[in-house]
Amino acid sequence: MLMIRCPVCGIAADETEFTSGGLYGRLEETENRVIPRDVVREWWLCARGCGTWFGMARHVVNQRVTATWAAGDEPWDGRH
Amino acid sequence: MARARRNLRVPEKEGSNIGRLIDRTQPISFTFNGRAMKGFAGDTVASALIANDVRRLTSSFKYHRPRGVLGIGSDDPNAIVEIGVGDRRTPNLNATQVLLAPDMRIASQNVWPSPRLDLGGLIGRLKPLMPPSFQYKTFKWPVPTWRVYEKALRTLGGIGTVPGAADPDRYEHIHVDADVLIVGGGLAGIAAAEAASAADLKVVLVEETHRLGGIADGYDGRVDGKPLLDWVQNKVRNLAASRDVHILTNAGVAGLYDHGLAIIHERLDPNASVEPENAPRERIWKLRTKAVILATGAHEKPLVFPDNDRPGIMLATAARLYLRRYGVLPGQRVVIATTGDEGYRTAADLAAGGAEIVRVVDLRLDPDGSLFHIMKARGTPLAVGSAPVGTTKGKKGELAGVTIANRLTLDGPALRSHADADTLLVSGGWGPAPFLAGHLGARLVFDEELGGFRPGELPGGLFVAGAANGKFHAAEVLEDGWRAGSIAVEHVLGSSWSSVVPSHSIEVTADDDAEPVGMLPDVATAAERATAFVDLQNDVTIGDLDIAIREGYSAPEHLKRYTTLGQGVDQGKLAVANAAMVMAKALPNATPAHTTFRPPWTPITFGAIAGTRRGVLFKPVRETPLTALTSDALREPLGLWRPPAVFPRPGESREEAVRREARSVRNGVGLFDATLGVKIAVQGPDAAQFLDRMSATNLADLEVGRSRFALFLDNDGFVLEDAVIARAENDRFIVSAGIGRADNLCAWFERWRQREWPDLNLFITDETERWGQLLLAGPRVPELLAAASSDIDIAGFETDSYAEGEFMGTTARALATRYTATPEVEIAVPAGHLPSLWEQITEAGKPLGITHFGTDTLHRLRLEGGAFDLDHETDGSVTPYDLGLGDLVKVDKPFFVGKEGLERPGMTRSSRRHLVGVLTEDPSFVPPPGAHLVLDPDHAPPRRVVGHVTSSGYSPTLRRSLALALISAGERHIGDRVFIVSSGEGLPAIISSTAFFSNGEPT
Ligand SMILES: [Zn+2]
Repeated sequence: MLMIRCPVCGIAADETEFTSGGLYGRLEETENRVIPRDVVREWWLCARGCGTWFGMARHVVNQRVTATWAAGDEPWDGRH
Repeated sequence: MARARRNLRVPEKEGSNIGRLIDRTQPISFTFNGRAMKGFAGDTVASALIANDVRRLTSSFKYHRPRGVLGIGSDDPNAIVEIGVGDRRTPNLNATQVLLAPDMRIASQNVWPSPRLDLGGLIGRLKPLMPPSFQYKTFKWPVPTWRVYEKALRTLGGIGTVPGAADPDRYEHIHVDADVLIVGGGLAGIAAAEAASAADLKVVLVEETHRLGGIADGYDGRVDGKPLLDWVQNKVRNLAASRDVHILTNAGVAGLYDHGLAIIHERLDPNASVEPENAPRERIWKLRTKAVILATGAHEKPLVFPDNDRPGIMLATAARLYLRRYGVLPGQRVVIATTGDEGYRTAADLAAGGAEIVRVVDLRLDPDGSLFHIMKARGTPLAVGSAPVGTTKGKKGELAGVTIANRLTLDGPALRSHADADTLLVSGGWGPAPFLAGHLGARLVFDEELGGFRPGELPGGLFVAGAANGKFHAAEVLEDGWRAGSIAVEHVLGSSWSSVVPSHSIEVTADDDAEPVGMLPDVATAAERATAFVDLQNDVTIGDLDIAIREGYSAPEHLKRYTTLGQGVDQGKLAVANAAMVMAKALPNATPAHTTFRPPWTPITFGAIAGTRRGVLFKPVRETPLTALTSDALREPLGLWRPPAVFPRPGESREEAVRREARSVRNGVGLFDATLGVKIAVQGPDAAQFLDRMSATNLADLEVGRSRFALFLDNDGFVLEDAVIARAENDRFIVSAGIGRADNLCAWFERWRQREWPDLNLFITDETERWGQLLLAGPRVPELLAAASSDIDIAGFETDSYAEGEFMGTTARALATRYTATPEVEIAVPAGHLPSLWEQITEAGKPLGITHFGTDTLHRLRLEGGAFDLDHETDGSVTPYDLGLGDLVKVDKPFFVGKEGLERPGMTRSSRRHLVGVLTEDPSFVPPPGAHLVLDPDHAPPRRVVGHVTSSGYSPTLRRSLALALISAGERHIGDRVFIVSSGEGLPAIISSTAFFSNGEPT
């Protein structure tokens, strides 16, 4: 079970305190995208914390979380 | 006639370490299947039963063959008993792991009706009719027959009895963080804990038995000049005294999960607590750790040969440990069959304990270890290069003798001999047990020389040490434990850490290599293969594996499902390695593999899983401000809420109450606690634009002070929510929706605001619980409100109006709605003011005959009004058009959520099911929701189903039953006849419009 730290309010908690919300990006950009056996960027909601949707990069096989970020504060150029 | 039971407890001997864990000054009385027996404090249930010469403990799961104790740990497949009576009876306990307690009542499991008259044994004789996966093949069809089979099979194949009363004990969950989790408290675990605690890390050491040290006490030798056992006990004392190490005994790791989560199941001894009556009986630890070290040891492999499952057959090392720890002998005339040196070690011990060693059968052709030579010199009868190839049984099915054959002549006329014996001890060598690594996705690699699985590549933060890592000699084990502890430290610290591996002088006899042997004899007949058990818990034989391979189910996952190999309480701990060796022989070109290991690795009780979440704490009930004032209500569950369903009068049934309440509303006025109705405030400069994008309904021209019924769709164009949107101010809207749905709707709004339109300027606030709310409904509502003090012109309130102001002395919001086809006003006030308002209105309404009503009645009134209810009429695949609400879709908006989905061609196909009314020809017949609708009830099945009833009820106003239904192309069939399938009959009805009733008049 993932341990996630919300980049907005800073709370670190079990994944059951959060809600996953599909691939990061706007809806039309993420539809029908194939998920690689690699790092994926996803939306997660700090459901039991501050209520903010944020971005998270997670390796789908070893489950390592490599980054989390607030929307608009992506660790790369451009919004998505 | 019952056989006389021998006493297999070895007498106490001065200066001997034999029986060191029992206290002979403290005898304990207990019963087994009602028979009185005696043991000692310190005994396990298994050791006490062995001492009392209980050979047959249970009957096997499928063939009901008699079985006894095979091992001495959680890997024992057959020593499963139930302990206790009444509400404290616990089934599926492993007798080797439970300490004997005074007056314990122990019973066999899987024996019906008693072990001596096991009717299920008949099934064993039907074995040829029960191939693997017989349950799928034989009992599948026809369906009604399966119910008969199922009942009989469950009685016969019973896996324990469910206690008949509620569990009186307490269970709890705790969350703990640690740096290093070490699983297994044997030599490797102790060494690893020492290494990790030397770096001041927080260490949790989990041991599934009640004591540390593993099986070190099964070996002689000296470490640093001290006897091995003393040295280990000293280490254990040091660890226990360390503040950095927390030791958990009687605790099994049920599962390992991502990000260092471990679920640990701890069984507590309530008598060890200062407050035994309040002490929890079991505890679940949810441990988050940075590193995990598996020091889970190895399993001694049984030998697979015909009739290898009789009571009296035991693992060699287990027998030695029973003697050393509890002073019990497995029997008096002992044959030992071994592929390595453990057999000789056990032979030496048992001989010293007074047993007769009939023969040591060594499967190896040229054993040369020191233990072999010692026993040979002592004149122990040996049969080198031989193997057990069968057993004979006594009257009760217990072992009576062993057939031994020379392995070199098996192909030809084998030289066979027979040895009378009451005990056969087997050792097929050690198979490492790093299986928990599988929970984290690690694949284990089959090592042919070892005949077992070793850890392959491991995920970060997971380490394996000791016998689980294929190291079996005490010196290697200690060193490997230190190594693993040190690299775990480096992993946690993220930097190199120079630990000094302590140098010990270890003098423990090293073993000669064991030979991995899969199946004996190497050539066997089909009949022999059919009684050569690989998995003794699920009764899987070589013959079963042959059939599975023949039928194409040789992949591990297929094999597991097909034969049940490796399922059950023991998770096939002793079967994994032997099955792989058998498969390797059968399929020489395939690499032996294992199935996916899934939690729980050791069984967890339901009580432990539930923890404190039971009774009133299972789901804490949420209350509205009116809960105390509506104590006369009959309540119904709605999520965590329990709103009133009806307010029955004495002697009134629920249905009678609904009809009375509904009539009162239609004739006068009714009052309803609408606090759970969703109230979401959407405010800000872009609030109007946001809602217009979210809703399929046109909201752009909504005026301040007005409200509008609107639909929200999901991405696919199906109806997600319906709501009334009121414009309170130019930049502030109130969204009101059905009861109990606030979380969903708010989450949906937030998702779009944050993720898709972060540039819009608005806030979304769930105000549902901040505002208490009442619903007033009925023709006399205006009359009631006219008398109320208010600065809102509430008496003249038109439908779809919204206002804020003061009402009966408090801040209020008022909204006129129209769900029930009668004048309706919702009045919301700050939650704390609701109780007094409820009482004031109840009082003021008395002359008008005001009636409190609940959700049952509201549903009935809405049904009369033909209003759909999201929970009943929609299932996530209903469009606005299906509901007859196409008018509410503003198709020429450039965008709204779900527009693209709704514009797909299939969404308007004429055969889609439409929501229509259904009027039964018999007006008193209320069709049950879910009932199927057909056009021709006399057609032989399968009949074409054209739709189904979604909600229904008797209308006291119209004096007839009403139903809503989704019917294929229903809108075009209004007036047509349809048949409702109920209890096999087709009852006629007419398809109608949903407008049963409007403006207070029937239509
Ligand atoms: Zn947060």
